Amino acid sequence: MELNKYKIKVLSGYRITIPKEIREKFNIKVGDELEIVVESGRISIPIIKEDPVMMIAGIAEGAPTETRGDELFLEELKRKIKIED
Amino acid sequence: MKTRFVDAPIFIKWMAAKKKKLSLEAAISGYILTKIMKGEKAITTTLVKDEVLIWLSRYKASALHKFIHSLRALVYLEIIPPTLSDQEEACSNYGKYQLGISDLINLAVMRRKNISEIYTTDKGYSSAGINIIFHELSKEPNFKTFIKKLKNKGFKPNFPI
Repeated sequence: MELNKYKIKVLSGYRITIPKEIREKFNIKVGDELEIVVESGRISIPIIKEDPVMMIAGIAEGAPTETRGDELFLEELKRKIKIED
Repeated sequence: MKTRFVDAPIFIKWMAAKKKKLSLEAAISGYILTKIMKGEKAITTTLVKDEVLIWLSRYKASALHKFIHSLRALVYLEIIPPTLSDQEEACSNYGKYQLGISDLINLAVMRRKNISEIYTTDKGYSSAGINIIFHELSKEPNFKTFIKKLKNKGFKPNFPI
């Protein structure tokens, strides 16, 4: 897992500046809304540029939904065996 | 609030939602995922994730990246890998409940994590004493707000609100 650390300073009004390298890597623009997650003594900012739920709404519109998990795994296995034959 | 388990149909029904004829089940599924996005802690397994991936690869493989990206952004959803002990327990329970082997593995994970409630449309889980949470969510006040948001995005519900 890639792990990079950046040292930033808290300015007046508790403002912080996102380092240029991160801004460019994640295409963060002025006006973007970011979410701060606080968990077990650490703060993280997951990059969410789009509503993750709306992003997948109807992406497989009209596809059958009644398939059971076991059947899906079985069919995947059948396909794999068939290809290897 | 109790942590709940998220089953594959929740993702599947939301991704298969019809814009011009949105079903109540699809809307509730989207509502559940929105609750999690907004901070409700929930868990699922890598098995559920893979089940949904296989389903999506069959019907809309070009959207696989979007699904994974969405999962990554759902930071309050913990995705747990089942252990061999979970699978052992599932094997011991095979035939006891109205559940297939993958559901039994999920059940073992739920029991290991002391989870007694599940977001699903699969009635089989109730045979194992798990409380299914689904249709009652449409009575929550925030559900109406969610439907309003969907309408603004062009969805047309085919159920009374």
